[in-house]
Amino acid sequence: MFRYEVLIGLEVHMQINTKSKIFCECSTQFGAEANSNICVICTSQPGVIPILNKKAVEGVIKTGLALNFTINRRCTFARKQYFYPDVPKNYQITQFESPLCSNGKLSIIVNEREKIINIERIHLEEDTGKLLHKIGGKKLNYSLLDLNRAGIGLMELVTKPELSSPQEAVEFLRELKNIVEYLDTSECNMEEGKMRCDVNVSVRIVGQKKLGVRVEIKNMNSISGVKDAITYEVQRHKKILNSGARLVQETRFWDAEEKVTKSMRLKENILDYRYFTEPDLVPLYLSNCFIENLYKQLPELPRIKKARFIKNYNLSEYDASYLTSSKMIAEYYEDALSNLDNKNSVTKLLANWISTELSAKLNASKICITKSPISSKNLSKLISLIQNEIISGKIAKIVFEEMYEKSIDPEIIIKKRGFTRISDESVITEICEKAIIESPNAVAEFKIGKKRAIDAIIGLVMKKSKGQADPKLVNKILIKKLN
Amino acid sequence: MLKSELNDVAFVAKIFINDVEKERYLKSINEMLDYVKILLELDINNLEPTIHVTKLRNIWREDVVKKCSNEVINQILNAAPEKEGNFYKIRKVIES
Repeated sequence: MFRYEVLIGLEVHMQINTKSKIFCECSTQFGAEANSNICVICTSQPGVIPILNKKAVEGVIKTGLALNFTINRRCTFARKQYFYPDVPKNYQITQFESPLCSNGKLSIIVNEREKIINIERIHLEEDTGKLLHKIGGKKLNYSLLDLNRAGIGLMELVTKPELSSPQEAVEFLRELKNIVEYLDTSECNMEEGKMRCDVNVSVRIVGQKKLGVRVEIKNMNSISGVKDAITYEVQRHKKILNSGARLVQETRFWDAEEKVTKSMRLKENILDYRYFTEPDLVPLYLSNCFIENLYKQLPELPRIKKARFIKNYNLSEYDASYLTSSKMIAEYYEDALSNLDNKNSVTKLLANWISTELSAKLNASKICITKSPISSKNLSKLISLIQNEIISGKIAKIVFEEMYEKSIDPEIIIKKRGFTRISDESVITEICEKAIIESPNAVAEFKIGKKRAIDAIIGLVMKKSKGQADPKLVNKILIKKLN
Repeated sequence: MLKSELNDVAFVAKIFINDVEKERYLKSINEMLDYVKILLELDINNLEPTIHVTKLRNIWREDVVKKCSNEVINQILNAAPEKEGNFYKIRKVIES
C-alpha cells in the first residue's frame, strides 16, 4: 500500500450582487416567470452590442481587495466558445489572459491550525441560461430553456490546488462565503444557485513530483455536497491507483441521491474553447484613484470584527467566533447592544442569550436571524429587565418563549402575566413566615448549625412567589427570622 | 509551423487530415508564413500591443434596470422554432 497525498482546487462561481445583468438592463430578480427578464442582448439577437455594468466590475474588485489580490489595472474580455443550448451566443463572455484580480489568498483554520490558501484569480463572466429536464418529478423527453439567468454577472474565483482534505475545502468555502456576505458583493445563496462550485481532485503518491490525474466535479450546490463528493472521489482514486489501473482525466458530476460521482464527459482540451479577445467590449484601464475609492468602501471584515468584539466587549474567543460567523448575527448583536444602557456590564449576557437560547430556537425553526420573531430591540429590553433585576433568569426564559411565539415586547408579557419581581419587604416577610412553618426539618437543621439547610427554605419561598421574590431580600429576611 | 501546431489547428477546425495531407498543408502553410515573416523585421519595441482597434476605454453603464417591452420579448420567443409556455422547447440535452 502506498501513502497518498490529496490535492484539491476549487472554482467558485458567485453571482455578483447587481440589480441588472452584466451586459444589458434586464433584471436579475430570482424566481421571475420564465423568459420574462430577457432582451435582445441577453438572447443574443444579431447585431447587438453588450454594455458593461460598472457595479459588477466594482463588486469583483472589492472582493479581490478583501482577499489580498493584486488588481490588474488593464484588462480585457474574452470569448470562450462552446456549443450548448444554455449559451445563446455560442460563446460566453469571460476573461482569460488578464482577469480583474490575480494572486490572492485566504486564511482558513482547520484543527486549530492556520493555513493560507493561495488563489490564482477572480474574473468576471456572464452566467448561462437554465435548462429544465423535468417538471415536478416527471422526466421530459425534451428540454426547456429559460434565459432569465443568461447574462447575470458572475465572479469566478479559482484557487491553487492547495487544499488537502474535504474539511479544508469546507472551511475555505465557509470562510469565503462569510467574507463575501460581509462585503455584500454576492448573496452567496447556494439554494438559489447564487454560489456554485466545481471541484478539482487529484491524488498522488507522497513524494512524487508530478501531479496526479485531475478529475473535475461540476456544479456542486451545497457545502455538504462538496464534502461528500470529495470524500467519495478521493476513495475512488485510491482504489483505482491501488489496483494498478490508470485514472482518466474527465469531468464528473455528483449524484446527491446515490451519493456517488458519475462520469459526464472527457475533459475538453483548452484549445476547444478557442479563446480570443472580445471585440465588442473595449478594455478597462483602471486608475489608482478608482481602486483606492473602492478600498475605502470595504466594511470591517470578520477576522477584524472578531478581534474587536473580544477586545471591546470582553467576549470569549468562542462567543466572538459565533457572533461574527455571519454578518447578520454580528449586526443583530450590535443593534441589540446599542439599545442598552450600561453596555459594558451586559456584553457577555447578551452574547449568551443570542448564542444559546435564540440560536437554538432559530435553528429548530430554520429561520435566519434577520427574520427572527424576537427583534434585536425586544431582546435588549429583555436583557435590561434581567440586568435591572426586575425579573429573574428563570422567568426570563418563560418570557423569552412567549416573545418568540408571539413576537411581542417583553414588558407587555410581564405586565399581563404579573411577572414583575417582588421587592416589597412586607410581602416577602409574609411568604417567608409561611415557608418557615412549612419546613420544620430544615429549620431544625439550620439551628444545629447546618447553614446550607436554608437553601431548601429559600427554594420554597421562590416557589410560593412563582420565582418573583427578590432572592437577596429573601435570604436576608430568612436569616433574620431564623436567628 | 510545427506538425503539433498543425494538429491543433485541425482539431479546433474539426477537420480530419491524413499524414500525406499533413505534409502537404504544412509545406504550403509554411510558405505563406515565410512570406509574411518580412513583418518581423519591423522594430516594434516601443509599441504597445493593440488590444482593441478603437481608443475607447472603460465604456460602462450604471446598474439600472430597464425592462424590455413585452412586445419585443414576445417577438423574441415567437422566433424560436418551438415553445412550451414561456420556455424555449429544445431537444433533450442530457441522456439519463
